Amino acid sequence: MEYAISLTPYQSRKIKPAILLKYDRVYIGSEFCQNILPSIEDIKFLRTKGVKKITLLTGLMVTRRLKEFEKSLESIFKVEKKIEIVVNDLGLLRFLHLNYPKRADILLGRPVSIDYLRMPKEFLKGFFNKYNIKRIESDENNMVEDLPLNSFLKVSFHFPLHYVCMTRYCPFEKKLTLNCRHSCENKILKLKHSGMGKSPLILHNNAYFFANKPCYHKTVKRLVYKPLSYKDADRFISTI
Amino acid sequence: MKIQVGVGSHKELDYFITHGADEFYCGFSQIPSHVEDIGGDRNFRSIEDISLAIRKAHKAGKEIFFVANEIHSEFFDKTVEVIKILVKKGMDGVIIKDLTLLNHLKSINLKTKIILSTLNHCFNLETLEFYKEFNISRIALPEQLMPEEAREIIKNKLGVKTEVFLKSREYCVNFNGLCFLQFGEDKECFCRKKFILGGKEFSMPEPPDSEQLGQLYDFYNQGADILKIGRSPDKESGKIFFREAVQLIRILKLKPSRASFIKDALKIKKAFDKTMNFLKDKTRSSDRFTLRK
Repeated sequence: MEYAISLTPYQSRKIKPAILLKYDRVYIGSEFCQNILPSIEDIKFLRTKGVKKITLLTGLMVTRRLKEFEKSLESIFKVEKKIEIVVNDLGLLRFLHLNYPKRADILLGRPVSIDYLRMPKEFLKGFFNKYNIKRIESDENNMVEDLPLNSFLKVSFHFPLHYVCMTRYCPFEKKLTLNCRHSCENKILKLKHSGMGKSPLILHNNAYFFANKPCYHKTVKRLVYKPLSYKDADRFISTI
Repeated sequence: MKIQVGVGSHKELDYFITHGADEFYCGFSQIPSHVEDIGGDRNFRSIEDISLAIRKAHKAGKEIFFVANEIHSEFFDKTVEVIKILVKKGMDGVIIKDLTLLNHLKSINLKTKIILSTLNHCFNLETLEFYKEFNISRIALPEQLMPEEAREIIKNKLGVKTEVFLKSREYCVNFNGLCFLQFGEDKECFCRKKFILGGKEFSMPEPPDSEQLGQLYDFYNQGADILKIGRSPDKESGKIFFREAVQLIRILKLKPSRASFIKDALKIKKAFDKTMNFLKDKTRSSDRFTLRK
């Protein structure tokens, strides 16, 4: 089992390097917000702190943002021979396939991976092969636990936040924008409603989550921990 | 800009044909299509019903499309079979989300129009090019895509037409199709509920009406081809949305300024809101009037 920590670029600057190095891998960016994409500076920062394995997190992107990120990838590929990248946007998937076919290991990200988990394996095998997709990112305990033990799928399991929904109309900026002031940084809000039961809905960046627990199904080859505060950053890894 | 309306019964179809809708789409209760039959006839109940709808639409000189925009998994074979039957009976096209289904229809070279569902979240030109490989001829744009961000998609040189929703009436607060905030037996949407945050009320924010109507103005002037009215949870709200859409397009054709359009459109919306409020009181299902799910 590989253990990873998932951080926004802002969070990565705030966590002590010694804690980062306790994990096998650092995920950097966001699967949910196109305003929190990783940059070459973020990668360089992690490298200077001694982080060996990095996974880039990306979400759905509008044309302007995708073009900007494609340029950013040019700079990244100048210093990184190969990257591992979580992709939700099929436009980005196509771009990587056409321009860097063997240099990007693709992971299909939350929130779209729930659809792929329901597709027939015959189709997925061909699709994964064509686009160099190596694994699926998930936080769906039930769906992952239902996978056959001999499934060809490899899963990275995210916890303690289970994705519920996301918006482009930012709950913190109160608008739809690409010129973000990152007012969501370091904020975790807990929303309650009697109709949802006792579990609060957790708002982080532009997405809402419920709490979940790590899954140890045979297909899960990596656990990805999202700290809810800086002091939480080594809470999970210290228990391993 | 044409107006497309989702229908779930012959009564609805007859109404919209009489009142001048340009084209239609419909689902089949046995095939998953994102909008299930909770709270009303939102999908037809038999192939025969849909065949009759095809004949009625064609007799009126209108096109009609079949919606099957879900991941089909265990329904896959049945979905393919139903699509083949309906295309044979004259269905003008299919609205699809499932990549596996798109791939299969391409492999069997099915001769029909393929419309990419709004649930595929085609946010950029590169994604449109990805899906063009599956012979799509139209896409329904994601609700959370702004007109200035959609410009290159709308002006695409791939021959793909674009559809937009009447977002001042039908808008999901969160990404439609990627939202799982539903509870209870009838999977009630919680996105517009009042939550409690630190002792205070919290609502998930969404754009105001003026912004949504301004976006309609921009989509129209950028050349979006179709204004889409979703399948309604009750018989009356769909009619209201349609009548409102007709009035809005009538104004847009007069080429007003953006500010003037928004002003007039807000007045129209306010007038229809009165009817909506009357219906809300009557049916006590207020949340459903502003949600497509």
